[in-house]
Amino acid sequence: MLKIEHLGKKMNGSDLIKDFSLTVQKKEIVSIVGESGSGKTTFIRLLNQLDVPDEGQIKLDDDELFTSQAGDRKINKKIGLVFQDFQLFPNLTVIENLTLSPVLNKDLTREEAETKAEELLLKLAISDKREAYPKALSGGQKQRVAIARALMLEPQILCLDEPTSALDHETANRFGELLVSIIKDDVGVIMITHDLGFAEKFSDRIISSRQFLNQ
Amino acid sequence: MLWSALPSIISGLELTLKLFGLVLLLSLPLGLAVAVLKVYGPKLIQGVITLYIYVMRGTPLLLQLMFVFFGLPYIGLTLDRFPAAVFAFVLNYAAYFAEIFRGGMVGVPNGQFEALKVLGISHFKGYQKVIFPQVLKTTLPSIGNEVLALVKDTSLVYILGLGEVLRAGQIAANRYASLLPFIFVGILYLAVTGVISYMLNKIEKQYQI
Repeated sequence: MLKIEHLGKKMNGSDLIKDFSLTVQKKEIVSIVGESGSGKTTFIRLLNQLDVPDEGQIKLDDDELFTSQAGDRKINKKIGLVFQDFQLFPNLTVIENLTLSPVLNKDLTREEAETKAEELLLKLAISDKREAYPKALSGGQKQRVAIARALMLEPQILCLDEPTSALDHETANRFGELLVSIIKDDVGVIMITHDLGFAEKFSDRIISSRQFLNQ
Repeated sequence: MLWSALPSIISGLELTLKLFGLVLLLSLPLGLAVAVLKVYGPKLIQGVITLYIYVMRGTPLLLQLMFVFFGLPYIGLTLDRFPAAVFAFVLNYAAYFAEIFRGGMVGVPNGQFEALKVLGISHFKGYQKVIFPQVLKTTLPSIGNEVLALVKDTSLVYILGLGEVLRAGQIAANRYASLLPFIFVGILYLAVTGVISYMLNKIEKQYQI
């Protein structure tokens, strides 16, 4: 369970997020909607320790994320992030993108990592792209690889930054169904999006980014 | 008559290739280290490196060669001709390589570093497996240009009295009052640069993903 308490972040001297609290349970999909510049991306960055909050706490199963040094790997890996532009590693194949972190960090042997990666690719219906380089993939395929890469670390919370921005309507719907099937595996999802229709269809809860400032 | 000049031209070619190989072997890693320090090092080091690169790129290589061989003995550092040539070339080429590598490093999108961080991959390993291969891919064409320039620049060591291939050719041309040795030397240069271009192309293709 993710617990965010009294989170605050100033940007250029003015409050972007102030006294914001939120709890996300496992198997829950929470969407945050709002216009650009309203702090959605900053919020996701704070959750993933890419930025440091000015105040407040972020707790994962009562472990505080920011009492330890920022970038602490153990805690970092419990929250996954799929970037809006995916940020797959262009010099590595799909399978290498997936196995890189668990193998380098000795969480899994190469064989174990590959078996796990193959299962995920199968589940996300991209196993035929196992040996492809990111350049050869479509937007939707890249996204699924990025999700698989994040899921390799078995995060408790998966963050998605504008997941439908690169997808057409039909692909977005299929993606939504995929998302619902993912959370059966004990993952909580936080996604930020401006696609209200998509959010309404596939989320358990929708939060407006205005709540970052308690408006 | 060309036959009698051949041994000295061949031994000149040997010296040229030896110098080229040694300089390349030393200046590429040094250039990479300098680039890393310029991007990530402390401010003071960054300043020193900026000055070093400015001097190396802002003065003729010929002058640098003379300075190392004739100038350094004044501060008690006397080098033989060949080591002096290697030293000057390595300093000069490392500066150019450093600027090329730095450009490639700065060109990798910030998101790649963030993706590594989110995946819990350390800075060092991330560089090794993800960032540096991308830097290599984007910088290979420019590195290739410098490598070819180095082949030709080695002819500058004549100033230290080293018998490289062009000097051997010139001596032969003077002795026999003929342009033939020059033509022969030109063909030798083309052969060497031809082989190197071919290898560079192969390497580039390998990294072209």
